[in-house]
Amino acid sequence: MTTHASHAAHAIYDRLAINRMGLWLFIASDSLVFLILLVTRFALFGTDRPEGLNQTLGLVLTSVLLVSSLTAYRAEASIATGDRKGLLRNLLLTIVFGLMFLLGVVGLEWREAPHAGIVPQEGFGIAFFSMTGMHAFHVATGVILLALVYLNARRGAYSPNSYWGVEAAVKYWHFVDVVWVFFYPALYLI
Amino acid sequence: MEALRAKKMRLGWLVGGGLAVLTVLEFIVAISMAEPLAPLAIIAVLKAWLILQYFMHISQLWSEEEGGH
Repeated sequence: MTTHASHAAHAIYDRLAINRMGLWLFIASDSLVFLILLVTRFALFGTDRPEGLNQTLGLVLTSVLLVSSLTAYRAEASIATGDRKGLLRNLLLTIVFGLMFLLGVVGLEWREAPHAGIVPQEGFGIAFFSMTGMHAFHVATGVILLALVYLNARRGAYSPNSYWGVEAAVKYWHFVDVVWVFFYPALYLI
Repeated sequence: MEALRAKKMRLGWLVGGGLAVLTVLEFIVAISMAEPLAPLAIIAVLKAWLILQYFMHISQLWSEEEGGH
């Protein structure tokens, strides 16, 4: 490798490292919002939770989000190894699973919860709707981000040598999944 | 490239399987224990670690060469 090419490679690597650091700093700062919600839930309600929450739905929603993390990982692994069809297929699956999760939370769980006495204005409902609402907002933004990456991928914007857009969207999606890893037991199981 | 892809996909299935097992385990713990807070917290941390380490590649932050593209 010539000196010029070596410098160019280093510049690209430095930029990627800075991008990654920026994303992780964003994730760390965003985590604080969720941490505050989690701490507030336990400070207000201890280890109490209402009996009326739909346990089956909670488990299904959790499974859907975990599977979406696997397809997101496979999307990134696909483009990293030159499989553009695999990238598109797995991005699309991740978007579909994300929409299923959103539909489950907002369309089903939020409709059912008031029938079990869990309302947004009082008691455990304040924590439940705040936590699932903030998380659902992040899922929605994640789906939008993945959809933009999907459109770019269809235009051939990514290659095994350049796929920061895919990596960033996928990392953000995993972050949303990690948040649910803590929210699910705090809301449904404890 | 093919071998690398197969290796990455295998790792994905292993981690996904681990997450599935831990999710079932936390559900069983929750319905069978009177005070499940501590075991559920440990399981949640384990699941988060699997995702952070293998799906989010957090070690790229302190490893110079890994994952460069």
